[in-house]
Amino acid sequence: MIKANNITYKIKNNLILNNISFEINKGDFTAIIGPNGAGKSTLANILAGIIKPNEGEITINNKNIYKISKKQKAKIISYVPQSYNYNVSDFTAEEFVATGIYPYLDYFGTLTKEHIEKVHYYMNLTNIYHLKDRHISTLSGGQYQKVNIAAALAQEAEFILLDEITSFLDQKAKYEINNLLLQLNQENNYSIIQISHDLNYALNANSLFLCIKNGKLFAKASALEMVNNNIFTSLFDMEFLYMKQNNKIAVVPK
Amino acid sequence: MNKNIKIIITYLICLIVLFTAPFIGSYSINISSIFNVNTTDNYIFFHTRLPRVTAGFITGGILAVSGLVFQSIFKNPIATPFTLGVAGGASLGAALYIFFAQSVTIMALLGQTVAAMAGALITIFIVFFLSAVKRKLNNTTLLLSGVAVNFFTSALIMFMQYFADINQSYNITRYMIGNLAVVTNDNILLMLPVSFAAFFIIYLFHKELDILSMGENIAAGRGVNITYSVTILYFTVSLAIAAITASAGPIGFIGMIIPHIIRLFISYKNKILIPVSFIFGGAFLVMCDTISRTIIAPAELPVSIITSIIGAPFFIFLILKTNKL
Repeated sequence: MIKANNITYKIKNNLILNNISFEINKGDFTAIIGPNGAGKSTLANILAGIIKPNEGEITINNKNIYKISKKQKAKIISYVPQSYNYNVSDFTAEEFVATGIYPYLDYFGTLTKEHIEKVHYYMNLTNIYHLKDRHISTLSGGQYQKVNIAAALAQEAEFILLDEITSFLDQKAKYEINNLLLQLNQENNYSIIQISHDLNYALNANSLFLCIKNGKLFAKASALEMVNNNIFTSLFDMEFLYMKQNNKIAVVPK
Repeated sequence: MNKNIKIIITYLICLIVLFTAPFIGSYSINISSIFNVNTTDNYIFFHTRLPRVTAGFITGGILAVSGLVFQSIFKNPIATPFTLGVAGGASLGAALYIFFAQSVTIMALLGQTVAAMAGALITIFIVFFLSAVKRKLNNTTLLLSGVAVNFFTSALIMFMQYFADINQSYNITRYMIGNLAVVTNDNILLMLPVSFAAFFIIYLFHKELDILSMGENIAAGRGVNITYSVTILYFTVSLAIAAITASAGPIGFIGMIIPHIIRLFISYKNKILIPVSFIFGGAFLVMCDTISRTIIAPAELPVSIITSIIGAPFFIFLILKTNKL
């Protein structure tokens, strides 16, 4: 379980996050949503243990993530950062996924046979095994994000945190990535936390919503509550319409 | 071509260079008499040529590996071992010594080495503390403070050269060109352990360097302790470069070009890139130094001139020929 206690983060005198507290349970499928500049990515960086809040603490499975080593932390939460640049050098997909093994490597960094098997296992799970020898720079956006997810899986952390990974993808690639994450959650028991602007997907995946606005936790609600209480409207300060068809729901600006 | 075959061919070429270099020079050595203690051949081989080749090999190796480390952690293809101002600091130390203390002629070379070493060490710590002031040490603050300090030391050197007499100014310039002829056997005794320790430490960080070259966010997510890795690598590289430039001066181009050549033709993975760059860089400098010893024999050209004259066109040829860059 992830517990965020009174997280406050400021840059000089600007409050980016203002006293945020919440809990994310094991097995949850969570969407962190909110307007641009609300502090979502800062929150992701804090959850991933990359930056330290000025006040408050994050515990994952009762471990304070700022008090354990970076490698220990990487074994309980893996992080797929926002990636608008594809500048990941000449590495092949397989070599990139293998970087997920990093927290388990010895001092000399020797990849054992078991490590390689693990890499192949997660590449199969994410359906990218056939791309194994392709260089990262030659992959499409959707393929690249699958490689990113496979690398995060290779870290074998229970919690996976993803920052807007479908933002630049076409409909089909988005659909595939979203289904993959849902499958990882429902069949493989990963706890998924996504920062997303894809409200429709988050609704239809029946996510738990953590709504951030102006650096504060604006609401924590189920998909049903988001719609019934029309939280989207107050969160984004605009009117929305809800459309239902074939058990699917779509939220569109009025 | 298979990667392993490429590596073996590279090592073979390097071995040939390293074994033939000590026999080439203005005095031709007879192989059969080098183990006869009473011959001139023996003396020249063991007291002049072999130390010179050794100095060239470790200098070239450390320059190549250091350039590689800085290129990876700053994700900047034109980073060199001297980007963060170590060579500038060493040159400033040497220049100060030449400017103020050159009258102590017997001690001249040793004193100049010590002064250069002190200049380099002071610069290393100034750059580190400037970048650490902002609480969070990262690659960008390190790069920027290094570049700023480098400009500052250059300005001070120019200031001194402006007021120095012709002789002092000439000596300062001679130091700043970079030359293996001035490396003494005592210097080699310092350079050897420092270089091999540095190589070993850098090699242990091959996995961190791979991930760091993909970006700091990815590295942080994988559990790489960025501050720790960058700090250790910065001090390791800088101290090794200080030990080398204090005696040989800043020898240019090798630190930038060798990692690119190995990356293009052999591997971008640091596990292979680090050792191959070291050996190829070392052999390349030995080859250039052999040319600089012989081309206008019995006089010598500073090796820095040769590395750039051979290296620059070769590098441009590679860039034009490959479409990987």
